[in-house]
Amino acid sequence: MPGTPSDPTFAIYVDGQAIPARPGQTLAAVLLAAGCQTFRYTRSGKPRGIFCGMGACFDCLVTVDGLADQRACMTPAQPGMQVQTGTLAGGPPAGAGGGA
Amino acid sequence: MSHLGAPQTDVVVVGGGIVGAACAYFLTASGLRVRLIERDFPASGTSRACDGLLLHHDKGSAAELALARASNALWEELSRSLDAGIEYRRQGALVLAESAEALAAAQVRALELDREGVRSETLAGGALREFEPALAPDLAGAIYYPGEAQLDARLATRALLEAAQRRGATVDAGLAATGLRLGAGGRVAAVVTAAGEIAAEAVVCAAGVWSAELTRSVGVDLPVRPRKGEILVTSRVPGLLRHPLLESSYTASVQSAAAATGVALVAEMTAGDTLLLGSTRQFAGFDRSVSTAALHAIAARAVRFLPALARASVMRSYAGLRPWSPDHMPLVGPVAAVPGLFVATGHEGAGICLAPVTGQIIAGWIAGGRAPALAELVRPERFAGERTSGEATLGEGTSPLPRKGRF
Amino acid sequence: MNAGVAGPLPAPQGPSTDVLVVGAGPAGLAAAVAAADAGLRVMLLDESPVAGGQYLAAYSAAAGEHLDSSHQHLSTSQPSGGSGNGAGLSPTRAERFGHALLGRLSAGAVDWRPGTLVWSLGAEADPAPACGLLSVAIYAHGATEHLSAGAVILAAGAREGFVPFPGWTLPGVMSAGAAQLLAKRHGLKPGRRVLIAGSGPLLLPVAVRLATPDGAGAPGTRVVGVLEAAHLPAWLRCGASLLAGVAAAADRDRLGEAVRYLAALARARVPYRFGRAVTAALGDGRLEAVTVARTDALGRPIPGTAETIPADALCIGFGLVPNVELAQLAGAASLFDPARGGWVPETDAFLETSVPGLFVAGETAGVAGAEAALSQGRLAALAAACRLGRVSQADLQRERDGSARERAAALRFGALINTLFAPPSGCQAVITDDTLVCRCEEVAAGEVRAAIAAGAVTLDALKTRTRVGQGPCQGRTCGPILARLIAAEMGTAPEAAGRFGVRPPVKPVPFAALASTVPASPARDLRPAREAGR
Repeated sequence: MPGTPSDPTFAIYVDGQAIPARPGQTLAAVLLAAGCQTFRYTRSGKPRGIFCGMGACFDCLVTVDGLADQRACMTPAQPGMQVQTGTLAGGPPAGAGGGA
Repeated sequence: MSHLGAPQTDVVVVGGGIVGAACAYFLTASGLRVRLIERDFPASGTSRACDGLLLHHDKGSAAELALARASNALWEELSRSLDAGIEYRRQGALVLAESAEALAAAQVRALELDREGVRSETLAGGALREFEPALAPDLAGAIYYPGEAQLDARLATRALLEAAQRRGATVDAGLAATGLRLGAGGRVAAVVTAAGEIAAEAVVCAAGVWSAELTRSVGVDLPVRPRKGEILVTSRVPGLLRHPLLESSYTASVQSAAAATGVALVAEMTAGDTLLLGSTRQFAGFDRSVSTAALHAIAARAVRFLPALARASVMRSYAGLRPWSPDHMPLVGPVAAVPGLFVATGHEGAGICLAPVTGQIIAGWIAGGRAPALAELVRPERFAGERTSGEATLGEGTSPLPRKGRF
Repeated sequence: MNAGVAGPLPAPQGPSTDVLVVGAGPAGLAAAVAAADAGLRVMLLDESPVAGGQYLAAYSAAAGEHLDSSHQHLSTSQPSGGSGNGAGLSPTRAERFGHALLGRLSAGAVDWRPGTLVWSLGAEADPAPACGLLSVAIYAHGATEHLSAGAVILAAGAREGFVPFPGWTLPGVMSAGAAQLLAKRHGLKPGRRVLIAGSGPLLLPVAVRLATPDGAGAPGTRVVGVLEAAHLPAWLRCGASLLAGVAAAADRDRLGEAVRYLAALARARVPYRFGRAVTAALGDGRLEAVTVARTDALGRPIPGTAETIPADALCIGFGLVPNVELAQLAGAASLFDPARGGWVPETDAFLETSVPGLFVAGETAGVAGAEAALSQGRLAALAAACRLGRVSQADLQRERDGSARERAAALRFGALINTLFAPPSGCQAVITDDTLVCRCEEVAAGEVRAAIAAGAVTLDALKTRTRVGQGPCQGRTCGPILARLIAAEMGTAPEAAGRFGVRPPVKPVPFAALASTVPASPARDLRPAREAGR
């Protein structure tokens, strides 16, 4: 059962949709594991996702619990987190283990 | 000394900020051959570290207002005639009053300004909320001045310079003036630079806070001091504000000569959907660092008036040095003690606004050979008596210009 | 007038800690532990929720262990899929040492603050100027705080450098470091068909990790190829240098690492090609294919050699750029040293910058690898301890002399890597006029080239004339790219382009946190009046 020591997964909400997350995962990891590569759109409407992965480039911005422009790669997922992206792309990819 | 080979020059303008650029623009429009030198790159000084508001309501005297009115009218013309865009827009500005007392004081001021032809209307309650939805709902009210405008100072500086260049001005970036050489009769003979001399019979010192350093080389002590201001830039907040905002204490802060003022909020949206937030004022020499205290203070003030900012971040900051003068009026015109030397500085926080009228006054002096309209208001020699060990001063025996009524 | 102070805040009540270490990678860990061992109060801060930096990221998918910032306790077991370098390769000396240091964190001698951003660093004068404290502004858990310390060790690491190309902003194109971190820490692969491109030895561990099936049993991602921009002679020189220094354990280690990586790639049948450049990333909304060309000796794409490779992940990297922004903000004198990755603070023999009490260690002091980072972290901590009177000058000198040779060797190797694998001059040909050079503000190379031609030949001038550097990354990504662009257009040295100015906050801080603070430990933020501090 989720939320127990043997199954520590919990749900976060991305654009209103429940997405599974595990302790220690960043929002970027959660989104990528769920098959979502596009985290936002730029002023000119171009899609952006993860780029540097270490908090330097500010491409992977999402809104977290109402706070805008948070770096998904630096934000640990917490149970019940509300995340807004530009879109929730596609479905989960083929293959186990969360390959994106 | 080597002479820099150049076509015949009538006027050398020292300083490539918005004031220097405006001087070059109007001087070339009068048919003069202009060479502008800038020690770094155009708008590299205060002109890139400011907001772009063109205001009437914060002017503290009839004289300042007269200048602002003339200059803002010129900006409106320029916004149409300049080839390059300067992002000029006239959406007016809102002056916010937190308390009933502040609103009452703001209305008194609005009435005074109205007598001078500056229109306004008071907004409160539901009408204010509808006019500017992002404002905190508990403000006593606001005064809307529809005649206030704004532009992008960097674009405007460049546009003026390019227009001047099309009329034959040369612009030398990366060339610093290190001094002035005087000739017979104490007249200006040349501008001295690291790369040699530039012969000139007329020199306009439009070097902002660095003007005093240049004029000191010929013993002229300009009473212009740097007054630091800090600005925050927010993360992108598209559509947050419809009009520039100022809080009602802004005018007092502008006119104050205190060592350091508190924060007086100014908020202006940029073309990039970020919000510029200021303002602070302090005498801190030529230091251009931004203090964390200022960040906290401006952020707190901003969130008080715009609660939606709690969703956003402070992205970056910068500081600019306003050229402050003791009576808060610029120094524009000839330096009596040094024939051929003109100054165009001391605009404090109104440099963007007053640049065109400054350029016009300078052009009037140099091309017309006599005092143009409004020149009387900004005569440099009103600071007579500022002697430094017997050296030349701005003028002899003239008394300071009396201010025509308090504003 | 209203509330809010533009002037100095009230005087501080004494330092929050003795030594404040910024960055919990190998250098920061070594510094924090050494400082604690010397009996000092130490605070260790990192923006990340986990310690270890990029080098020591660890995750064990099978056991479900995790690194949880709320517990301030770290699992130090080896990830089941192999150590930090993956594929069952045994950990390097630096990794073993680093993991031991991580274990020391839970002992409590170090005040470890994960998830903490340092957004300002300045000098503060207390009543006795000889013991000037340094003030630090932090943001953590929704609040800002002002701290002060007798010494600050900046061990903020480095970030990756890039050569832009058309389409490089497509989702699916990421840095090699991002791919490595996702794999190491989260067991994620960036795609099913992955191409790795760029330059330098850092591409190898990324390739090996991605090409190897991980411990959880997921199928390995197909690494379609590793495309190295440098030509074979660069690698040969590298190898020769390592062989020449084979007496040193560190050099043997590196040589062994390289050989093992190459063998692992060969086993996984991953093609490794020299003299290749990515010329475009293609796809509709996400990466679908990559065009690649062979390059000449200068790095210019050779016409007619382009091929299009289907791929859904492209991992790129061109060396590392030291994260020196906080040092720059504090006014530390700097120099441009390509052998160390670019702009680095000037330091004395004990890693102190020109700002008294501010030390740098690790990649921040110059890109030279994890061994140098560990050694420098320790040296900087002892130097800080000496400044604070806990360690004698003689002991400090002994530490320095004892480890000088290994540091020098590491720096020599680092210099070799940084120069051999720097972006080649010909890479400019890949940057078409419509290629974005400022990702944040979407400014294309054509606009920048026009601005340069109009006289904007420094980063500052470009920032005034275009929108480059005005976005949230504050020029971290575009700065080095623009400097090379200016150098190429003007025929000048990269350092002539200068740097972007740095003002607080060095990274964005939420309004709510700034607005609500009366600083907990009030810090006075006085700077000596100086001309245009940048």
